[in-house]
Amino acid sequence: MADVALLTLVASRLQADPPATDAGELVLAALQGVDALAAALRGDAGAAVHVVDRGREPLAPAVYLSSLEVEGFRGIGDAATLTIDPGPGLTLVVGRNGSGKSSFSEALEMLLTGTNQRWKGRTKVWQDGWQNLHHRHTRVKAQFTVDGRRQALTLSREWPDGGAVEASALRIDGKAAPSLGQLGWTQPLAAYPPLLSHNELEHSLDEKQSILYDALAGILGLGELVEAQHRLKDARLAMERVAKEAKATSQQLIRVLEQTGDERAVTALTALRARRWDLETVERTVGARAEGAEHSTLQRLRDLRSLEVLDRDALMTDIGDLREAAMMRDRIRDTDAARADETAKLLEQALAVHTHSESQDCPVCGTVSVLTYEWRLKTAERVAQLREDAASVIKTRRAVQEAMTRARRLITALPASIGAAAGTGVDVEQVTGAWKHWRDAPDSDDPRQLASHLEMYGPPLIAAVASVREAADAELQRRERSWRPAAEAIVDWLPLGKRARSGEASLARVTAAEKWLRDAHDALRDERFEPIAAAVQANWSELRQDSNVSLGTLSLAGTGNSRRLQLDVRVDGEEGSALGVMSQGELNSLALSLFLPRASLPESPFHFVVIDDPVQAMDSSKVEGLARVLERAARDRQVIVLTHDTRLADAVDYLGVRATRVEVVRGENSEVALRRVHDAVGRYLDDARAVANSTGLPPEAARVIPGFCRQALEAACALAVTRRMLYDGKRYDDVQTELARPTTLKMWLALALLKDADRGGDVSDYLRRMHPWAVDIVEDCNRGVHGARLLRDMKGFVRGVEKLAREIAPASDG
Amino acid sequence: MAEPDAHALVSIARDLMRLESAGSAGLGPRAAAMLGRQALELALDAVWERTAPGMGRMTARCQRLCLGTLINDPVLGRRVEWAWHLLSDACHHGVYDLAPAVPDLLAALESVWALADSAERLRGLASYRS
Repeated sequence: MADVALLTLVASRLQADPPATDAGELVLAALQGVDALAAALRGDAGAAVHVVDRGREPLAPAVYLSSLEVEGFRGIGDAATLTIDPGPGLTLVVGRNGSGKSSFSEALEMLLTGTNQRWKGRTKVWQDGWQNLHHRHTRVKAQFTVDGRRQALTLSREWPDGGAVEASALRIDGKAAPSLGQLGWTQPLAAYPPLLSHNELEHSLDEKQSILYDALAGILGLGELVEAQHRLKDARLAMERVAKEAKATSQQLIRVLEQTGDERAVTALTALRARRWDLETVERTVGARAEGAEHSTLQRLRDLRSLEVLDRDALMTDIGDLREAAMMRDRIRDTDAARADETAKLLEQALAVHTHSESQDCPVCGTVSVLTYEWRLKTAERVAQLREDAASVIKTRRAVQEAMTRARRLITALPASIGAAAGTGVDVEQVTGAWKHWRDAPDSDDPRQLASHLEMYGPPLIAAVASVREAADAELQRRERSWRPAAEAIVDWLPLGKRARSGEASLARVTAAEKWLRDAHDALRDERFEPIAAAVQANWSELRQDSNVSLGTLSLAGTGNSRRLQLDVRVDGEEGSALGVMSQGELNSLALSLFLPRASLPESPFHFVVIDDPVQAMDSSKVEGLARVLERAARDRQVIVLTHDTRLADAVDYLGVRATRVEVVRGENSEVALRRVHDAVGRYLDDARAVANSTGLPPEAARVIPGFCRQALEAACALAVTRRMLYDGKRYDDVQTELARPTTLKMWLALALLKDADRGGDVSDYLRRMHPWAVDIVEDCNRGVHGARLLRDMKGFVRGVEKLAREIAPASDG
Repeated sequence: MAEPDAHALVSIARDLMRLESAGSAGLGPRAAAMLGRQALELALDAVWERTAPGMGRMTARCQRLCLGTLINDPVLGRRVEWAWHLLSDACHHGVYDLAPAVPDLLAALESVWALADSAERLRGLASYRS
């Protein structure tokens, strides 16, 4: 299944820029899944197109963070709550390292993801430290304001005492939930992570290029194109694997065939050695039609094997018949069958004549009285004898004839198969000789001679033919024995060969489809990444400040294992070796530059971003740029920044960036307190007022009021000096140098009011002229700090200090 | 109201560090640092009073340099030096400074307390002598 918007986009590109061959169909099929691709490769045009219209799927509504309550987690013991105004804006959470401020961002990460970057891949010793030592019950609860929802959304995660990091129970609005899936947050959390932990800030650019690529590519919504590329690649690899395997095994087959002295092997070899395999021929060598050609050796051998052999018994019978016929002929040698027949006819005639005569005299010779009854009897007997003799002669003649004919019929010509036996490996010399003798029969009509011939040459011929047949049979069997393995190898190999050949055509199409899709993906990727790259560039140009490292084109490049985030870094205009030339602070800045545009994409439901200590390792001069970058991000996002020192807060003050400051202070036993302050001046004044207005404090506590007041005035001076110097175009580093000089309140005032820290002695005069009411205030600040009892109304004193402080440095708009 | 001594101020400072006793969060460490700083000055004055009257008029730096030798405890002298820096920094607006960290502050207050103890002992010694 594929997203319909993406599918449409691809289809229209296919139309505008069709790939080679008909690979377009494969591109679309690959987008729809493995099955669709397989069907398309089979040529199954009827494969159904499954699309889903994800474009219309509602995005999760915009979410802002309104409070975060953390209990028993890392540096935080008793529950501490960070309250933030929902909606776009910048909130700075300022706390010393170890104050527990990072615990808030880590707790939020735990709440949202159930785990934490910090502990990933760490040893057990590390992981065990996640629960607070003083307070083992761990709970993180956050409230969110959700667009279009009346009540706040409450998420909480609780861990059993002493439990593992993973053993948490998530609740959404008080109800147990397995994951954040029901809120539709799972995918956005991966694509647009709203949290940038310090760990990630420091190390995200250390990651492998492919991981950086994936982190950014994920937001471009082209994942399906990548998947489709993978499907095509898999299909191509499968085909190539088949082709490769078929090729490799065909070599083995060829070796087997080469060792097979069989003409079928030769046929198969020729077919396999052709530029393109002639698989039909190969198949025929092992198929039912493997009889081969008319004059093939095999056929000739089969002919030899089936040579007709004289039947010895029949031969003997014929010989016997010939001999008997000869004997019979001997017996009638002196019998003249025709004479006997004629005589018999004459005597029959005489008898017939005599029958009708009474005379006993011979009419032929005249002898008298011979034709007696006795004569009649003797003559009749003689006629019969004569007739018999004549018949016997005829019969014998016929028998001799028949025996001779039969015997001669045995003497056949040399069979053609013997004549064509050369090269079959069967020796036919003997049989040819025997047959020659056999044929050389005497031409006489003497059955005895013929019988002798048969008797002499018949048996050797029979033996010779039988041995030829045996030899032919043996040769055939030998051949079969050597052919069978080859035949089996062919049968085994053929399906693979067929698959490989049928894959050849598809392979070209798949390759074309793959290439087209890769190009299309890259083009779309560059198109979509461009605005992000532009935002990253904008961020970097703010953050780099005086850095001699400039960022050239930023792009996602390559595919597969070579995919990478391409950063063209230049140092003083020279091409540098990418990230190697950058300081840790610069790397952090770059990581932040990359993070913010991603988290600010309109597709993300998270309208809050939490950044943990981007100032660490950052040059002071870059802090100003950071403040501006954050200010810009805060225009349409709720930006929450945790920071360990006041540089960012100070920068925000003097740049007049609208921001909320929350100070994290850590007391004993992991007590963590948070308080909102306006700016440094306001914070000191708040402290002073808090003590002045307090009723529960010991009276000696009032001794701290002048100290807070003095700090308020000093902070106001610092703010005024910074604003003025930056306005005058001074560099931030110069400002820092200047601010490091004053060591007393008078010096601060001199620097702020007289532009020279060394003119502390002139401050009183200046104040007397310009702000006479403030002279005593300044003096009292100094005296009070050192414990002098101030005989005045403390509340009024604080008001006076505030007035002077705001004269020196007007409150930034806030 | 009698002028509080150094011990009293350190006690109050420690109380202020327990956040719930302070009027507003975050006030604790800063206020405690200021009281600690004042307690340190009181303790130093008390020490000079017993050991070297007139030292109190010298510069703060000079006083700190002499402390270890004059109370015959160089280790405490160094601890007080360190506490003075920590507490003084907390009493001025530093551009990047946040409230001092609690463990540091507690250690500094401990040093001030020890200095006040030392002053007490010196006073006892002095009254014994007198």
